[in-house]
Amino acid sequence: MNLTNIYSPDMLIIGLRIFILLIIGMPVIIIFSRFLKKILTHHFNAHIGILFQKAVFIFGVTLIIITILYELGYNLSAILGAAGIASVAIGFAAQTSLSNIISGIFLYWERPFQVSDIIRVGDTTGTVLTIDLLSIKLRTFDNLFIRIPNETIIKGQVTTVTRYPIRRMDINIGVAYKEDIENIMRILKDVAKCNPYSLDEPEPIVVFKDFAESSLLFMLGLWFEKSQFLDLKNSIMRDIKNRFDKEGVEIPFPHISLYSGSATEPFPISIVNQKK
Amino acid sequence: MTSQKENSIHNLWKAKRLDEDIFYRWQAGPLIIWLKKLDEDWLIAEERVEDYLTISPYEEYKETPDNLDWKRFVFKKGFKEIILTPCMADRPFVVTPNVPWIILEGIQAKCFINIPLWVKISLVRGKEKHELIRIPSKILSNTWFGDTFQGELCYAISTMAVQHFNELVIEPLRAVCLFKIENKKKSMLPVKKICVRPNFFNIYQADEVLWTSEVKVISMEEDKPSQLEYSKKAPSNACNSILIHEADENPGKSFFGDTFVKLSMNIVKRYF
Repeated sequence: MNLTNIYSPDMLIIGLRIFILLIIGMPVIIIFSRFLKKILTHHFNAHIGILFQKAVFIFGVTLIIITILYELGYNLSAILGAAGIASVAIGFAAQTSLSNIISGIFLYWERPFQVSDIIRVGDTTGTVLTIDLLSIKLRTFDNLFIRIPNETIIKGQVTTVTRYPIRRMDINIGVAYKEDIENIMRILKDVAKCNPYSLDEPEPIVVFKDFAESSLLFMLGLWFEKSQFLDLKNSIMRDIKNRFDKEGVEIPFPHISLYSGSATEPFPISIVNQKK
Repeated sequence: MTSQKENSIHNLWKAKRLDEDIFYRWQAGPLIIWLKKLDEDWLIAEERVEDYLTISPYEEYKETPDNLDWKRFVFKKGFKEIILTPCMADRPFVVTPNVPWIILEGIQAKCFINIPLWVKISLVRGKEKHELIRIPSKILSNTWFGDTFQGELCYAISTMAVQHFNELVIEPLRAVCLFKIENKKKSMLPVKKICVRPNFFNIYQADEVLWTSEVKVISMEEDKPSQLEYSKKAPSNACNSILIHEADENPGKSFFGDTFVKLSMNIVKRYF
């Protein structure tokens, strides 16, 4: 490379043009993309706003890079030809990314959740921070940052916890076999009625669920406003325990009864190593 | 010992000058409020008891129960008086009539609802007034007004709407609401639950009873929002009443809206 050409008047003019392009072009792209995000977020939602902001920014920066290369005298047709060949190679290498981008577009159209919704993907539950072209970002309740590729979201099951304004909390409760079923159902209904976080309407439900190994299993279903999950969970568990203690209801631990072939006969015991 | 006259409901809502370093215990029914002034600080605590009728404004104490959860308000100097006023809850109420009603076409029905009140604590100096806090008289149960897809979080009122005033048990921290429903539809109107929006209510005091503004609901067409009218005067049952709390929001002459779509939905769509 001939360094003397760098200081030629032509190159200085080119350098000036590139400088002006960067000085004016970059702020324009940044301001316009932010403006677009604000408008779209206001009229649609944060998801669309962020998506279009990034698309406009990437497109604008690509345009500036191409213009700079053109100004520097590079043959764009050769570059584009090389880019065509490179894109095939990159296409093979970037299959996953491409799949994520297409999944991101599907997510955009389907809109199963929005920014600030709480979602559950597999074992992960958290608040949606951003929905990007390649992935979504979550913040879990123990303050971890988690990135989930869009492809995973499209392929798997996603639960939007905060989609509807009210939810039902199902609590399984086991009581001893000696307890009266009607009485337990009455107590559970009363506990639900007395708890201020449990909605009166829709009414709480009590289901006698199963004859379990060591207990009679009941299910108490309580409706609550979605933001009051922790308040209800903490208070209702305490209320049930206190009420069962007050009413003398036994909550059994797992146990096994052994019989010697008959329920009525005593179990034969022989004592070994008896001292004489 | 405090006299019968001092324990009148009228003394609950009067301004009181608090001396420093004395605890004041204020009770109206189930709600007890503890107050203390410390230079420019105001200490406020609340507790609730299973008592619905006791009225005991500003009794002086040297000590307080240990388990109180105090709140400290720091305010500018010069304020020495405090005033407690009844006010309305921060969410709508859902109330159930004592028996389900069916209102025939062209008929107007009325009911009385006993609405639990909140207590607003403010500092006063002449005409200057600064609100510190609003305290619910009792912890009410939540309920949902709408379906599982959309609706509104409300409080459930445990006492039922009744047809006659003398069926109500008058309590110091409850206000009586006269609720009228007019059926202008060409079909009958079954009523199972009523949603009451308290932010549009004035509160009036008449003798020993607190009253809210009168409400009129006009059901015009099937599955259409009904018209809601909040009166700006005390109901005719409240003789010689005085206004002691002005509504938090002005409802205008009448209105339709989301509020009433839900009300209409709850009233009209609940056939039995």
